[in-house]
Amino acid sequence: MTIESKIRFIRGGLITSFQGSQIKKLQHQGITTSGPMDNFLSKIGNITLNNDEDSICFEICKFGPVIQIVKGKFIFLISGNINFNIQTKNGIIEGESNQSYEVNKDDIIEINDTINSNYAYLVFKGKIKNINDKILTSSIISSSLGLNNGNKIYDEDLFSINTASNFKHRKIIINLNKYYNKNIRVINGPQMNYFKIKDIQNFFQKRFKVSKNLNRVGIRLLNNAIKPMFSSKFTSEGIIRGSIQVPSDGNPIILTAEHPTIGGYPKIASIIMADFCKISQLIEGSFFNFEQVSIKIAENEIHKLNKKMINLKKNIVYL
Amino acid sequence: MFITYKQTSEQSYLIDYGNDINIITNKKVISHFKYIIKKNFYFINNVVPSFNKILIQFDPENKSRVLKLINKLKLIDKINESKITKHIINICYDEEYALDYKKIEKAFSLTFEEFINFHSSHNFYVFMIGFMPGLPFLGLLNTKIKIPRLENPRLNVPKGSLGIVDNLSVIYPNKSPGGWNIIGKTNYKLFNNKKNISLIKPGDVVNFKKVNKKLFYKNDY
Repeated sequence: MTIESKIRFIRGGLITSFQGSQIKKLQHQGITTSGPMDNFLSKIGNITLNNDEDSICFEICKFGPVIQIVKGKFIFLISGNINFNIQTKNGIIEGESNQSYEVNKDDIIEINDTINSNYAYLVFKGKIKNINDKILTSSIISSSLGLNNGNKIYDEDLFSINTASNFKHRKIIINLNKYYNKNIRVINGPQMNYFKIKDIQNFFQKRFKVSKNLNRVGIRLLNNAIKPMFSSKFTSEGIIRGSIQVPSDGNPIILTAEHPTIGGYPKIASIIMADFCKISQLIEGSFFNFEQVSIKIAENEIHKLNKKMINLKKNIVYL
Repeated sequence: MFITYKQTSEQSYLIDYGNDINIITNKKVISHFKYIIKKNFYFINNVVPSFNKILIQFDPENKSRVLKLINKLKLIDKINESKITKHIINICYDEEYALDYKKIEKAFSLTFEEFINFHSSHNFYVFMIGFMPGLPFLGLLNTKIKIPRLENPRLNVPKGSLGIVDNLSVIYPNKSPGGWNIIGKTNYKLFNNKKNISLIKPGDVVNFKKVNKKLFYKNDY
């Protein structure tokens, strides 16, 4: 049984957007893959609520929205390190991450700032009406395409949801700290030979700093410039999420969820898929290291992570 | 038809068809690209053709199937010449839109009018679509003159701008940051937002036709 509910964004938040699964089979049209920046967290939230792991959710960047329930009820969970509270007729409840809540008409969810991280996910039971796109399964804010026409959520946006009428509340017991260390594993990029041996050594030995230029398109790094020897000879080619491009000034750019589909700078390395969530959460000014690993290790790590996701349900505790 | 291939991550292979930017090499790329797209393999997430390479992004659980496909591509050595669509694109080269015309005059030692005649006399081949939805990479201008990217890329290149770097041209489908030298503007629709398809395809041919400002405004956005 489902019931129709309605939510209103009193405040849209800094950049709140709909994100579901990564968009497939359209990169040759210039359409990027998009999807959650930290798809480890969004999957944890969805699995806990017994949704498909890539179900559409709200990605919250840095400073979250304030949501009022206008009609019906809203069953949700917030995955990530973020302050939030729920305001009801009976008082204010301080929110706890990775635990489900049910709010009713006139209740308010106030989501504030992320703690030592960039992204959190508001995952919910049910389906948002009139925004589902079977092909473009996430918002692409940089191209104004996809869910919600690629728009971020604005103040006063209203959405209708078909939500479950009954739900057994739960939380997931998981120690996220062990996944989010500052050691980012990479494999050699296709143009690593465009760099001097000394610069390659520096790339792995010296710390990088996350600059203020970080968003859903890319993360610019500082503190360890490594100039390619012949960037002008490089012809543009297809790129993927996690590729690390180095423009002529030597400051690397990590390509993130809404990366351009084709890039014209040499790529020194690629972040392994299992570690992409870690880099997406490093805040401006963070220092971190790259660790060189083999493709075999990268393959094993993603297999391990996929397996972990399947077994995650064992960590759910019913309330 | 390809020279080599390399696994570039746990989710991607890069197939290399040769070093240079030329139409013959790109036709090999496009031929294999069209073969893969037509088959619509469930284990392939994306296929991205570029000047001389194809990037295959796949589900890591299906690596062996991708390797099998690459081995099959080795055996497909005939360029499949499919139907070519010719696009005639109106360009207004007025100074208001040709933001870098002075740089072009200097580089080519021509008046901008002479350069326009030179540029618009070419048949431009579409090498690939990418960077952003619907952006075509076009070539090749018959020149050896080098016109590098702008040292300081613009934060906002206007929608529809025609840019050149060396012997290549692009058209920006939307307002965007960019470092190409801007020589004009079009109101030609490059991307269909409803169907999510680029209206110009790799392998197509583009001709530019000079239009005056009055006519351009009449059909402007």
